[in-house]
Amino acid sequence: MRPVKFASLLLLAAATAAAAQPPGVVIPDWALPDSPTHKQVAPPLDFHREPVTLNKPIGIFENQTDVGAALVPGDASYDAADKSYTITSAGYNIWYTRDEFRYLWKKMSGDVSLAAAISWPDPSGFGDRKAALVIRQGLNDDSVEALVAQHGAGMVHLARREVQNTRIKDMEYRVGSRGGLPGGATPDSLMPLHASRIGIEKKGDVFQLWVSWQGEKMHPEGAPITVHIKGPFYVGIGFASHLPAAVSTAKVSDVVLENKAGRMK
Amino acid sequence: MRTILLAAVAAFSVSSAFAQSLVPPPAPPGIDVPDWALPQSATHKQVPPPADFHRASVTFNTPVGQFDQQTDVGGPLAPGSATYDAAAKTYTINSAGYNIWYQRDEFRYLWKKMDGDVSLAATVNWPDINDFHDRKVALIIRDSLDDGSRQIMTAQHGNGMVHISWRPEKGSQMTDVEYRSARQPRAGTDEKGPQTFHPTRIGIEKKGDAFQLYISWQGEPLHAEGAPVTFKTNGPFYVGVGFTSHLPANVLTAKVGDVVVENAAGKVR
Repeated sequence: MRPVKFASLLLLAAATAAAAQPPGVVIPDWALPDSPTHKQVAPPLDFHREPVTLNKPIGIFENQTDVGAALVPGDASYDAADKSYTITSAGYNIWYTRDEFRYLWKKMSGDVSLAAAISWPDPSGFGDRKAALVIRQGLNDDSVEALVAQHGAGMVHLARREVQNTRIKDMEYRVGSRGGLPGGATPDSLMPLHASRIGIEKKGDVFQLWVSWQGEKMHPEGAPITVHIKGPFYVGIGFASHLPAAVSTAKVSDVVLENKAGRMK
Repeated sequence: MRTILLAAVAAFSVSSAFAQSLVPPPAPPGIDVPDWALPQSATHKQVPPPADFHRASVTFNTPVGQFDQQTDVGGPLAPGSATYDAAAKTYTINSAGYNIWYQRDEFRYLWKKMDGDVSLAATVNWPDINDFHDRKVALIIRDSLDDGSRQIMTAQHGNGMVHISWRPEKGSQMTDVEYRSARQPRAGTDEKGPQTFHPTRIGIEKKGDAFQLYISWQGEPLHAEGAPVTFKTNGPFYVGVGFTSHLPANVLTAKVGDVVVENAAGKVR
């Protein structure tokens, strides 16, 4: 049913063209990302796809799910030596009223400290791809959730879907340097800075973003938000290429996951 | 009382990026503005001042609040001024000035001299949020009052951007690390484009040669943001609060409240 055979072809396409449409995969227009030739829009309100769960534990996580069943399946591996997860996924986005991403999760109740370092095997990939630390009520694509995500272009946000099948809201942070990072065309070119580490803390219904931008001690960033998520819920790490049918890859390292607040490190 | 109110307002301060004026107002009549001094706009590409261009700074022997003296660094084309409201613990600073950037600066500077470690923090409020977006209030530590002095500072811009920036050598170009926060427009409202978060409070700490930026974005405890920057001061230095309109001949106004200026590290709050 799902075109596994296109996966390797799509790997090649992901780095170069956001819009390259693989043969045999029909991409709905609403699923295309913003580009000079397309204005990104929300999915139709009644559009949903069932999650595909694999029964495949990985590292500290109980299982894996392609939330919202992207048009091509995801994949993940765990390197026990350096304790890092490599997640490969397509997925139009984690935004609007529904999500598509590969999710590595476990079930928990109570408070949570979840933190990780994100890196990009292909730094030139699509700027809007995102690796996320996600706490969700369910595995359905439109679930209530709170998440912290780091994007390919460096942006970090704390996002939440307060009510099922409603539009996500966020608070975004962008950091860059003029003259202090390599690669600028001129000394005045603004070059993006990628965070050293990101985290999300759940204390009751209150969720706080934590960041270390340049190796400084992890600290809360911005105001906490309130989302009502009742136990047991899903906690884990996810990745979406922000391309409906093209996979891309993120590496998630040094994951801290504790069933308590105040354990951010 | 009033400062508490201002802080509460600042904690939830959001504005549309498009509400900020991106269009520089025309210079007042009778003032000749060199082309290089104009800010970036749809019709002009911003450039550095000519390498040999300097203007003498103008110092006023008028103490204000916690500061001993005031200087129009780089002698902007229109003079600045400043007042202190002790009841509200708030400075009102009026200044023109092409910028605090490249190899020279133009701004009104309220300063005192110090040696050793420093904690400096403040809450910035804009009397008119729609003024020119690139204006900035800066907490500045510098070698001298010259327009091209070595310096390190943190500044909050009218468009919400906060940076730590430094000029490592006299007359050299500045380098910075910039922080921006916003949220996407809310569905079902008439919001258009990203809505900027203006920080609640900013600070800078000097501990030996290590300078650390501090930010509170939305009322959370003031925290270290990013890595410390290494910068060596040359003996006693100037410490204070500055403001520039980022317009060579137009005076704009900033309010700077609850200023902490202490001759020790670890006192940013």
